[in-house]
Amino acid sequence: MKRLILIVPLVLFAAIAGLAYVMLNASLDGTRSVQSIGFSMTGKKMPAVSLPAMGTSGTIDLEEWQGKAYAVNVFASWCGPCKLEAASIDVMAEDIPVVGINYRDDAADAAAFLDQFGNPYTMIGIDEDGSTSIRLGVHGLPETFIIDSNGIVLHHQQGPVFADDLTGSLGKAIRKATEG
Amino acid sequence: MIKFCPAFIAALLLISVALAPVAGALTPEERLDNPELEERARGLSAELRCLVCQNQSIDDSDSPFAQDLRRLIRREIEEGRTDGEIKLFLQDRYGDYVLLSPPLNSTTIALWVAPFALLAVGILGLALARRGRPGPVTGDENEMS
Repeated sequence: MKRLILIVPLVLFAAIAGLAYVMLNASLDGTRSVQSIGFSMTGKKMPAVSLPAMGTSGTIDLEEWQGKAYAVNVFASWCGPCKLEAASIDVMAEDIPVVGINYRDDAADAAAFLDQFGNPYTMIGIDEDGSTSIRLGVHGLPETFIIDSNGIVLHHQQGPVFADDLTGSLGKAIRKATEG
Repeated sequence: MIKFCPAFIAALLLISVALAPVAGALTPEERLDNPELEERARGLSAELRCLVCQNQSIDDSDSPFAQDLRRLIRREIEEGRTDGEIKLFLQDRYGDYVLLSPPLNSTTIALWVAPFALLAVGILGLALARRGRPGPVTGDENEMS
């Protein structure tokens, strides 16, 4: 009995070390990626925000999209992964209208970015100080939201959209939003 | 060549270390004019995690994201929101992870209870081990008095 008690700390240590090993491995194989905070806006109502529009003197208001399926893509010219996903956002825009939110950017740089990589956006809002993106739960660029006609976020992608996302869960959310 | 006295360097190091927690990442233009509200904003900033940093509060981080959050907090405070309302607003968008001190709920219960449980197991183990061990050889109590 006494010997068994002495083993208890050893067993506890092994259990904690094992748990740490499993969780660290999970973070390395991407099931808990560094970028993900384990929380997203999926399933929540898209907050109603309004921003100055790029290229015109008006504003863009997400509330105007109520009753329609649409996507929101938060991007900036200084964001490397935004360049990587540009081609996929172009393809995505063929299936669902995409509202762009240009995050903390220089107007001339943003225009040059759109010239170089194309402009897939139906409209673009300028989030000059980043406060609107916080209201949308954005913490790193790029981020993409698929919103259904009831204003519910069906998919919140934290990180770039690639071709395989369009055939995966993001593509599924687009079909559900546009067909549903 | 300039020579620095070691004592002078040590004093500089001490001063910089002492000032480090005071300095933070807050820029003068971010501060609120009302010192009471500013103090609230600083307190709240120290409790919120900078999500793009390595375990830093938004009060400590000079990343643009932390700066955005600090500005948002100050705007919300000025608009009359309570600390609880601001925290809820951010939890709604970033989950409990945005709080540096995790709240007690079903997913974090192990985190809160485990240290006390381990301590209890340790004390119990020690007590049982001591009880089983023969005591030191002493004389008869009557002889001692």
